[in-house]
Amino acid sequence: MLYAIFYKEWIKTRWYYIIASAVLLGFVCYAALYLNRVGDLAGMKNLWDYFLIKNDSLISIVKYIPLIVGIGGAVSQFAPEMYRKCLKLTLHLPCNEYFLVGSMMLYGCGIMVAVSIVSLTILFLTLNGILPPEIISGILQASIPWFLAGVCGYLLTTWVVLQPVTKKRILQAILGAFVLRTFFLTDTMQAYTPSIWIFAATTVLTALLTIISLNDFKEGRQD
Amino acid sequence: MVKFAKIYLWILVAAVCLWQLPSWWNFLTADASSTPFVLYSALADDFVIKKTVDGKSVCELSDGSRIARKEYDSLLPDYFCRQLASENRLPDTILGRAVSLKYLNDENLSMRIKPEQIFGPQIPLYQLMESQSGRVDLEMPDDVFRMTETGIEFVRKIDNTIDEEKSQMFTQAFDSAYFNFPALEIASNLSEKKKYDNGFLLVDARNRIFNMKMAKGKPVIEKIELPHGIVPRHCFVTEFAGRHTLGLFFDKDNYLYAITLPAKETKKVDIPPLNLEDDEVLIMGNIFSWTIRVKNDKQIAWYAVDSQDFKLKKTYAVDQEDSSVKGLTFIKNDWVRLGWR
Amino acid sequence: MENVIECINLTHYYGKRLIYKDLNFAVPKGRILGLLGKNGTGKTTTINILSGYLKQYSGKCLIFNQPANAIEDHTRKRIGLLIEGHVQYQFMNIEQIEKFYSAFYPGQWRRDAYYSLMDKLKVAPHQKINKMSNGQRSQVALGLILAQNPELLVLDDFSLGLDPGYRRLFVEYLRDYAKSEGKTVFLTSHIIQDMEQLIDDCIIMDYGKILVQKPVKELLASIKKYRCHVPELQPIKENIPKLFHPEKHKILMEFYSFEPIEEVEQILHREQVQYSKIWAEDINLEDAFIGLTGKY
Repeated sequence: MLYAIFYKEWIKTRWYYIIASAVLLGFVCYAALYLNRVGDLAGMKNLWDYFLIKNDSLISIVKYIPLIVGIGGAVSQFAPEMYRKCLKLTLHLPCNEYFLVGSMMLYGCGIMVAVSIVSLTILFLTLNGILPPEIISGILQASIPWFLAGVCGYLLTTWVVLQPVTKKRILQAILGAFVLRTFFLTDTMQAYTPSIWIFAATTVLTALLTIISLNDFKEGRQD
Repeated sequence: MVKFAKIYLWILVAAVCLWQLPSWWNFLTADASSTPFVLYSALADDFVIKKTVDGKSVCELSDGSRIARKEYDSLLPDYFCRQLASENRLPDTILGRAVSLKYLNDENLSMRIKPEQIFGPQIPLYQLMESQSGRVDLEMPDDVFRMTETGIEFVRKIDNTIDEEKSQMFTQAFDSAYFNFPALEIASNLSEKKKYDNGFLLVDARNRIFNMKMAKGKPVIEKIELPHGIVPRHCFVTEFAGRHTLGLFFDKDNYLYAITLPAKETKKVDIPPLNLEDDEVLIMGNIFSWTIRVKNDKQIAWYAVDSQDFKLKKTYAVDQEDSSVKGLTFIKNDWVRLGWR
Repeated sequence: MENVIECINLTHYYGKRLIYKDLNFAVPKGRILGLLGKNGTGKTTTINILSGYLKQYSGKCLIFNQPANAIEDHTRKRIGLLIEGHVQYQFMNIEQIEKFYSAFYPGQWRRDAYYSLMDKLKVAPHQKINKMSNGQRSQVALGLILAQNPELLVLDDFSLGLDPGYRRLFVEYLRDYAKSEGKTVFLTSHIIQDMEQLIDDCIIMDYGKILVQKPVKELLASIKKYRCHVPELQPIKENIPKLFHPEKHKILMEFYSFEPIEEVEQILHREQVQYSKIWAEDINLEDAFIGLTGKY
């Protein structure tokens, strides 16, 4: 059944996720290439000095892309479910409703996590030759909150899109925007590292919020 | 499940409200307030203060008696030496010591120590400049170093490879100086604009301070003798133009010490222990004294200490008028960390 | 006879607006029951409560003796649901959607039933549902329900958007299937044409209440349309007990009633309605529906 849910989600969103993932990986590759080119053109010495003195990751071009991909992913997955209340079809399937919607979210989160891991791997592999592990680690640590924001943005958008009451939907979107803001408070390398577990836990717990929208949908709440 | 989800939702709502509402309230209701500019005047043996009252700048002594702007400048001849010189009012001697504009300028010093400098995030790679390059200007080195559990390792920036020879040479120098790895504290003052380079202050695993420099490509490692019982924690290389100090450090109890030059003698700076997590320190010194400002959310205190023996001469403090509403914060000392301020 | 659906004192409000109060009905096993009513009388509300997508204000609603909003997974396998407008996953084609659903109904899925209906549609196997006409979509939705082979079919306004041909096709297919396999069907519709051929029992709803709940044959045998001649200037009398929705066109008055002609004449006398020549006509289900609910 999990396979069937993944099958449906894949048919629904495959073009979105293929294109969005390609765009995200494109940005990541560009950022990696940019660092290499800056090293070639401005000199490796200046590149290293920039990292060590400014403590900035220099790949902020990637910053909001995972978030955009995550939000778009949730919309591409769940907006069709809300079109003429198509979600009723899914919820009518002979499985636990949390399992059904959870499987759909697992699919989206799985793609987001996979693309994030590939992105981090690309960054690691392309920078490994030119930068020391301390700086690479700093760059990766700076980017982890952005990729977490992608997953959290996906989950928050799912919560918002599945909410059947417009007023609640607006309030949820505002709250979600503030929550997502906390993933982008600073560009300083390593700044998030000691508290990254709080953001990871927030992201995981955010999946729970969908239950509220689902409950409102099941109880037939509407404008 | 629904109940659990709703509890989590309300936690999020509460967190966002506690974060956003106080900051918006403080933003909308904040008054323009300025910190008074306070320096110790050896001539007056008192703090002279410049502050804004009703939009106007006023100068006064610590007892509140007003002084004219010209008198204010005269009481701080070291700090305002250029102004006094331009008005031909710079004296030849101050408190019996012959002075000149260049001398006063060279002896003036300032240094700021912010909590984030000590506790903020930092990539554990360091740059050791050449102290005796023969050039007028200092240059950023072509390599960086890392301190390992057993030695020091230099990495070339150009190709990201380890300079084995240099690493070995420096590690041996450390061993010869009986430095115990790993280093607990590594401090320098990295800048091409400074007048000279005094290298690094390092605290080894046995809580001893060492000075590391590179002179003509060779390591110079020197142990700094500390009075018994002092456990150094946070070091700062000063590199002031006057060259009277090698650096400053705080011990484990947050007392401040100065390492003087040329004797490399450690002297306690006679001020109370600080709260380094919250206190911002500004040191402004001259040939006679240092004014050390310690600022936090509750109070600003100024300590005047002698520039030779660092004995306390006078103190002055004002309470910070903090009418802001406290709320949830996310950034402390450049780290993303939940806090309440 | 065993009841597959049972609604007891069902009451629902949207905000402060009462949809209905103390609605009671049951659908016995093997019967086809049509919930008929004009738009806004609560048909979809009832379906939503029955399918667990709306929490009723009060009362009980049981399907296979389980509360409608807490039906167990294995029971849900026994229920086929058609959402208003034949909504299906628009992004799938007929092969993909069959493959998807079949995974959820192992052992009961009848692939042949689905494809035998699809063969009649003349659509390419890879044509997406969102590129199909309403009629074609209705056949896909019906095909999926037939393949699921449920014991109970819940169909919300299946006639919506269908042209007469597809409506007839749908009705015939459904009737044959339900009757040959002894299935129970609960459906709503606001189009009454064709219903006569499909449903065994009907509930006719008006705003906030049930007007009639009985077998269609019984309903059509008992309700009559009456016509009589009246003076042209005589004003029409509203609210005559047991006579529904009287209307007058010049000298001809018409109304509906369950009463026999003798009783109707007595009522007219009692209400002092002057008339001459009265006669009764047999009517079909659509006329009965209009007779009971009115044209407006």
